[in-house]
Amino acid sequence: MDVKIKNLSLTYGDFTAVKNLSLEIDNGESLVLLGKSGCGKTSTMRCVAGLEDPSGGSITIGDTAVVDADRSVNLSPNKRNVGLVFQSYAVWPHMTVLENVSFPLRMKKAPKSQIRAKALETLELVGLAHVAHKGASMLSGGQMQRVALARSLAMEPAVMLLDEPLSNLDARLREDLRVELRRLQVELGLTSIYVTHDQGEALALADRIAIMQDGRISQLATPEETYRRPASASIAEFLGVSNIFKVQPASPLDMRVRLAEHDLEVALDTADAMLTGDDSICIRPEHVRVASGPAPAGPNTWNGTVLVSVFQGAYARCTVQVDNGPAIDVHADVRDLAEFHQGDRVHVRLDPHHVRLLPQHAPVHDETVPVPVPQGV
Amino acid sequence: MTELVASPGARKSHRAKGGPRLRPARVVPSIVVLAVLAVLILVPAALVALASVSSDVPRPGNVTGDLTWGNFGVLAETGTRQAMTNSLVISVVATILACAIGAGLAFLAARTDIHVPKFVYLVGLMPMFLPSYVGALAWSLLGSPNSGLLNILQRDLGLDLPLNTYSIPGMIFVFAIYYAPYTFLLMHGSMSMMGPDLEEAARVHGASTRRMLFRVSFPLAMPALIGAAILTFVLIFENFPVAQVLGSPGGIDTLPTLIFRLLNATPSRGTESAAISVVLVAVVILVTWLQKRFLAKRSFTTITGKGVRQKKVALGRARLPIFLLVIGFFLVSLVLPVLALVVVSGQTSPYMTSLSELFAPGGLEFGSYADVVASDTFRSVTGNSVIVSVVAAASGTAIAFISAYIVYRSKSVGRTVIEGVSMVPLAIPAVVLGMGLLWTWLVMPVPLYGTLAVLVVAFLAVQTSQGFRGIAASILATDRDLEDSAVMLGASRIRAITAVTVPLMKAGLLSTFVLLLMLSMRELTVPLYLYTSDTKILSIAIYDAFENGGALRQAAAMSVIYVVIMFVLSYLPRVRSGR
Repeated sequence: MDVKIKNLSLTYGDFTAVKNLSLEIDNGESLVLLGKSGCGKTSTMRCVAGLEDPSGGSITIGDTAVVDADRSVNLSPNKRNVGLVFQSYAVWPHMTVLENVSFPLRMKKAPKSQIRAKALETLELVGLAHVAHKGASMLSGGQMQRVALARSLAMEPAVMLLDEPLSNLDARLREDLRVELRRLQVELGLTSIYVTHDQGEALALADRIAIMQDGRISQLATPEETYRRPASASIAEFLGVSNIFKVQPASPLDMRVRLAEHDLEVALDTADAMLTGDDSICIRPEHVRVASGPAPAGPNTWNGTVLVSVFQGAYARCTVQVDNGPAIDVHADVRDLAEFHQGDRVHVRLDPHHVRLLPQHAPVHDETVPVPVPQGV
Repeated sequence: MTELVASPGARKSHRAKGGPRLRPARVVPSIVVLAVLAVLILVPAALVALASVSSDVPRPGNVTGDLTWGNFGVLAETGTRQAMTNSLVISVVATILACAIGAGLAFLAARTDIHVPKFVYLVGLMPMFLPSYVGALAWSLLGSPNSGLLNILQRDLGLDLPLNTYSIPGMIFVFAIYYAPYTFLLMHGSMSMMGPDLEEAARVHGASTRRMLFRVSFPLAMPALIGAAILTFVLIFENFPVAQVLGSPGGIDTLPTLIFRLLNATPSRGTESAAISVVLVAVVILVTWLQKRFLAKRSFTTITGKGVRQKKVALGRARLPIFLLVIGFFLVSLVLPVLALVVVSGQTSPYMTSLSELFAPGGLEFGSYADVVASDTFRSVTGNSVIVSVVAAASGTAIAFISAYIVYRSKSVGRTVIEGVSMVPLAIPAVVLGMGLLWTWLVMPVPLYGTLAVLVVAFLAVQTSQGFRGIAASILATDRDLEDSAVMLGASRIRAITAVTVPLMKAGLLSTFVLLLMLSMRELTVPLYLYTSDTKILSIAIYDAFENGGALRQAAAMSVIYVVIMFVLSYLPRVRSGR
């Protein structure tokens, strides 16, 4: 079912975790809340779950207003039919796997025979039918994660909330489960809100990504859009763009900008940014080309020296100190690796198309529904 | 433009109505728990404070007398000043000795290659299971100036060492023995959990074993030692039973015995007792506050929890002599006292001049046990003890669970107040709280005084802090997501607590229950204020029997049975956790 969050605010004492946040999630959509710890993403999700009481705003699931601060509506969590997979799994160690998964069905007072059949069916779905009668404390981390998932799936939730569900797993398992989660979500048509700080997870699992900073959504876009066009330098930095350089104030029509801390001009191909006077250029390391020898003529082609080169398997990560300029991070094709060592003279080349000129912070992305204010306030 | 106006306006409207609304579920349980804790703890404390500035103690129908500062005049009396000096001297010296013994044994058991370290561990721990006043009673059988068994033995051997437990050195000796286990436990934990890499780093950087110990290991254990020392000081300073058993025959008062004596004097000087109590509480609070301040400044995270095997320090040639010292301590703290109780329980002639009389035919005879077990008195006091202790421990665990749940799991109003009030009994010595409880239940318009119920209520009050701490540790170790997930899956909050949280906390709940049961079984001070002839419990009966003399054999037999019960009780949780 679709979820509508309107003007949601959550305060703990003096601290405001969520600031006037509005967001709509369509039926069957997977929305990822992405942000650093403390940005309010988990708080937002817990408001939807009913584990936190918002100080303002409303949340509607389907046609039901589950919380509305102005009308004093606040449905308790067990009446919302919202599934939540916890970061800690929260699988009950004093029960078997089957008992864990049967719990929501028992709470719905389903007939006994149905409970068992439905629980086993759900376990089948996550590939755990063979451990149904094991004690839940005997499972591995990955299995626990699946039990937690199955337990929430069994209740056929209106919305599924996932709170960094993969963050306690090994890298390898994490990637496998990521694919499986997406498969299940699409297959079952689950409306889901997924909270993570891992951009790779967000890109893989989202229909739309809402980037949260400081209790607000600062960018709401598809994964492709988010990756290609981060809305601000701080978002770009969070998304792993390692080359971010402050520029001197420029006017919107300039096609060239000058770095603030180095005597270097960088060419752009569009002046796409809303300039604020505190702007940076952002360059993904994989967009920088590196080659040996002196630089040929052309825009954004600079001589430099290799500071360090690290083999990473699929690519080599180099840092190149540009003459009279900054140190630039480069992901070089592995085939070039043999050619670069510390101290080598090289040149780097950067297509102006790949240079983004961005403000430090995005303007507040606010779907605020204007509230009529009496005149004269 | 409308945007600009709308946005701050919207925010303001949120703030105006803002803040989570107070739902009844957030207020009612807090109020109920606070009301219960207030009646249990705050009212008695307040009555003592009130009495200290009143012309008369609280009586039914007349809670306050006239306001006066005159009661504090008692502080200037020679007797009070002597008691204060005695208390300080005994507490300070006994604390130093107890810490030395406890820390020494902990170091030996945890970090050296001493013989049978498991035995050394038990030696360090065991005195704790002997209620300290039973230890004191046993030592008065051993070391009383005339009829003490050890003094009789001296006469047999022709020795004449001045051995007298009814003296300040005697009291210091007994306190040091029976309060050493607290230091032992804390230090053993600190020393055996100390990350070995900290010490290995010292060795790598060139320190000898000796230097490593003195420059790294011991300094790292300092906060634990200081914490243990202050705890021990407070426990000894406020202890009533040991001081009463060993001090009163020699006319030596400490502050706690003086408080008790003045209250029971004819005519009663209760208001002056209350005035001294205020001073006693002030000292305890001051010392505890100093400890908090001191320890807050230096928290060494030495605990890795990995349980890595540490290198053992080689004792070398001192290994055997040190082990003999350990055995000596074991004899003095446990074997001799228990033996004394057993001997006295079987000793047929009340006036003995030589130990050889014990070995004469008929000199020792253990029929006393059959008499005791068959006696109505024993049966009724044991029954009372069991009923009171079980009910107090069970309801204490329940109250602690509800309080700790509200404090750590809910957003209820007043949760910090609940936590604070739960900790209050720590600052009020039993001898003071007992007095407050007596007045409270005499004044209260509920006919509880003179029933077993008033003892239950008193135990609940005295043990609130221990119960709360035990449950709090357990509730903090239980991930709250486990309960929340049950709610998310459709269970009501109450259902989630009973289906998930309580079963998961089973071990913590049980060990808190057993702890409270043990504390109730050994509590002497508070029931001493509140018991009546119909509501005697085991600890009182033993104390009474010794105090009034007479049936010494039966008293000793009763003590032996009591000690056995205490050992079994303290062994129970180990058996369970061992499985």
